[in-house]
Amino acid sequence: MSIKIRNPFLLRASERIESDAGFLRLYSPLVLDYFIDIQSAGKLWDTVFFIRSSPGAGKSSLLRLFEPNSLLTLQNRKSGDEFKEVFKKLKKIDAVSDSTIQILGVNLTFTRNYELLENFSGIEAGNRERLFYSLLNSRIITATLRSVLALKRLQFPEDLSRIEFIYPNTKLYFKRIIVPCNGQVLYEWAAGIERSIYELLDSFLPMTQTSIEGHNELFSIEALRPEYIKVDGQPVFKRILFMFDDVQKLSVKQRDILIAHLLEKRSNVSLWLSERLEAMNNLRTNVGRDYEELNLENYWKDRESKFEKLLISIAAKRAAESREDVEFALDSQLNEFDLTDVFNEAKYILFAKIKELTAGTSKFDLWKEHLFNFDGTTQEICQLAKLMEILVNRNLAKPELALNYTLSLQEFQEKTDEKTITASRLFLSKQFALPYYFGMGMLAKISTNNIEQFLGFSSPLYERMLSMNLNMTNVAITAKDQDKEIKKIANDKWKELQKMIPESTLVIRFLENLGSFCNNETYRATAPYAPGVTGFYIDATRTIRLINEDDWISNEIFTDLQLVLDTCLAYNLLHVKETMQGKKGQKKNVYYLNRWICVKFDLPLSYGGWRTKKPDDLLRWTRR
Amino acid sequence: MRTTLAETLLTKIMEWKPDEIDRERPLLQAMANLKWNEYQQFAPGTRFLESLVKWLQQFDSLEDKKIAYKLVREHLIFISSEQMAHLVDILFSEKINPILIKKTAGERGFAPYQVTKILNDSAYGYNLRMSLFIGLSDGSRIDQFRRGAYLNNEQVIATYDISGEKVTDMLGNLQKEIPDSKFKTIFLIDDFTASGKTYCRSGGKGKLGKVFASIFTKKEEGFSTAVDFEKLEIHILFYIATIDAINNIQEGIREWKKENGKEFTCTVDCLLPIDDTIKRKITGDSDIMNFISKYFDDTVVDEHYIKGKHDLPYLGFNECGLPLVLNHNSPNNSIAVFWLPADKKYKGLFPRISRHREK
Repeated sequence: MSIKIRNPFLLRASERIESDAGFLRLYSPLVLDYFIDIQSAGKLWDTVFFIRSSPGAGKSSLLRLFEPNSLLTLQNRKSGDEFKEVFKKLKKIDAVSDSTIQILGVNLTFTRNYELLENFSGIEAGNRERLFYSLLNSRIITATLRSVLALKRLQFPEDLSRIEFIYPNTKLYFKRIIVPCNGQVLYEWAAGIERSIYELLDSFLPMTQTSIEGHNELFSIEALRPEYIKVDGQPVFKRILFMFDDVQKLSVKQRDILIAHLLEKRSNVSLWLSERLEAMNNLRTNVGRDYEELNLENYWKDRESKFEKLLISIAAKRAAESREDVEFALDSQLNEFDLTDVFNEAKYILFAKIKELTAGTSKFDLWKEHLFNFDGTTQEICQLAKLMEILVNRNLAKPELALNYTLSLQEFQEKTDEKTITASRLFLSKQFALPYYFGMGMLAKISTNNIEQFLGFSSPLYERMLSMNLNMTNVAITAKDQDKEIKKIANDKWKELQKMIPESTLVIRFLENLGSFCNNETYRATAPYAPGVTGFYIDATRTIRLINEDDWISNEIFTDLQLVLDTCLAYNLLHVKETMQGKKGQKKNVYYLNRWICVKFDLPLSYGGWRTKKPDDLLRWTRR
Repeated sequence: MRTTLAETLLTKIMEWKPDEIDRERPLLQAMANLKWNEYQQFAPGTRFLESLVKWLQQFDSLEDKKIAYKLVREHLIFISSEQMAHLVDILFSEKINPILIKKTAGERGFAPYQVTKILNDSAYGYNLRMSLFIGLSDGSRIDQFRRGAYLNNEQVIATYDISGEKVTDMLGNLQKEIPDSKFKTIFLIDDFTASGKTYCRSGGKGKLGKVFASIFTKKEEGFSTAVDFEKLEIHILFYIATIDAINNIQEGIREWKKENGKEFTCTVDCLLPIDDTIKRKITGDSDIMNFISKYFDDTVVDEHYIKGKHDLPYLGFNECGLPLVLNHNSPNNSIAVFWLPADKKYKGLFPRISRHREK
């Protein structure tokens, strides 16, 4: 029986795709190019490495790729067309060789129960930290032993005793067992620590003299070196990679302790920490100084065409998994012929508008002559007319003396830039209800560098393709239908917000104000921030106010704003992009709307248009 | 028929536009996979979607087809095998055990809420052992019930029509455990009733009339020798029943007691009661009423059918008007357009196999 499903775009997140082969078949390895680059710079292994993004950008999928079962599946199928590319890339970063798996991936996913330990009032602060290290050490050790068995295709727990742990214990980390020892002994010791910590947490009795072994540091990653682990007398792997997933689930204090400890130790261990951008605090860590960081969204942000390529590849792989054999195809052109009447009417209205605007002056005569005699399709004429309308408006808005000299065509061309052309297209679409959000490029932009978001938009579109296929018509969705469907999805997502996010009233009010502010700024007749405004920068320095806005991040008066921004970042409604502006080398953090919210407010999807706002103004957006 | 082909036909029959297909197809596929495909009376090889296509095809106009589809989409209640199994699993804890606890509490003078005390009392164990569980039809799934409730094999029987030898055997086994005892609580279990007519009809007819006769009439066959008449309680339990049916059965029992001059405790209850809201949704919609009356084949109205109300026979037996289908068979109390057998002028979406087969 076929395991294929109707609409594979509905499958989400690596952890929910069950079989390793299924996961690898759907995995698109373009992000590994980044690893290849930093590998060649010698920065990939033996260091602490952060992987950060909002949910759905592909963190867990990336980590799953390095787990023993994925690598084994890949080794077994490396010649298959669907697996070849991933294998080649993993080989380049030394994770696999032609005949071996070089790396032992140990994945430890944090859950909220670590936080429990932190909030447990029965333990005094110093001991809490020691227990946290104990719990981490024991879990790292048990996870490593499981991974070793998985990599050797041995059974857990039956084959634990075949593992030899030959760590010399010179630093006396292991006090209650004799090391070297076998895997069974090591496992029982580690599992015993974990069990006693749980017993402590579950107990209603007051904390008494505890017999739990407390640790002062994270020695497990030191001790679990490839040279100290053998199975049946043979070494098993060349390198061990510890992957800590969902680090944001630790308490703030635990996270700080852990990161500080790891950075301080500098212990030449390959350690990847993956976390969501859940709080603004994360934005303030020392990027690039003591460790490498991959922010998945920022990575794709700077590689738009590559991201589009990634999405095309994901779409193709997903479509191939559908039992209905339908390709994912989006029409990238307007159906001009079907829109003939609309364009004719638009042309008439736009010409009349330009005549009206320029009635009192002969300044634009040459421009008008060019437009009225332009040899192009009606669509091209309309786009040119809209562009000219913007440029005329800009010129008229300048406080110049009315010398009334005629502007040359060359001046028209000089004033025309890509941004204004994009703005004119947007204005034209808005004014005459023409489709704007269509085509793969647009869909890639709407996805805001987030794969899960792409799947969220593409699954209804693919459902439509399936429906059209069933209806025996062409499966490519027209621009008009894409635009309609994409707007509908954005509106549905907007309605869902109320249920999805905490403090939804505040957040929605803030975003509504921000959205309508951006809309007003974008659609001003002169298109001053072409192609449009979709973000803001918080300027807390210039103001002289009763309230000191400098410290708005920690000032109680701004609690609502802090809450809104934290929530927006955590739920990927806003994202921060570093922009160079002002003095040389000065970087600004600009908060941009997630692109799907731009669709909701009829905004363009390109970056670059933002306005400066004061914390006080932003706070007001949360109030009314 | 391949599913895709059936879906293509369906979109043609319903004249669906792509956005309607987007909406309807995932829903139909999901529901078909979840429950509807498991209907046991589909012809071999037929699954829900094919049946739906054939069913819709027979209606004259697109409007009628849309009403038919609306009936499925908005009104159909399909009880799957899994759902029924769940009801079977909870019958003991939800209905039977509370009866035994209450009974024990009364006998021993405990407050009914002292549950642990009652359960630990030997009287509770005796009461449980002195209970007889009788399945009134295949649908009662009495075997599954027995295993789920950990009951003794010798106190559970799948039919009320039982030999004297078996009754003696059961009594012998009971008395080995509790000397000189007899069964004093009888639970009669069935899956579904919508009208109650199968159980009680005037003149002592119906299943209950037969069961009561076999309990109270002293003869070799039947239960009379094994029953303690002084303390006898009879509890009739359904997994699913309409409120109307429960009332009708209670009324029928009262009549039977009067006609036969017997007095004993007898209750009727169910796990999943159906009130008349869902029927009113059907009868209150004139489009649906016109539709189901138009596509009715009155050859189904036979001697059995007229034992119920039948002025509006298209509402199903006794005009119950239910949009309900059970996974093993459609009840004839449902609206006829859902269950009309395959050999009729119009065919049902879930064709029914009749209990009273034509000769």
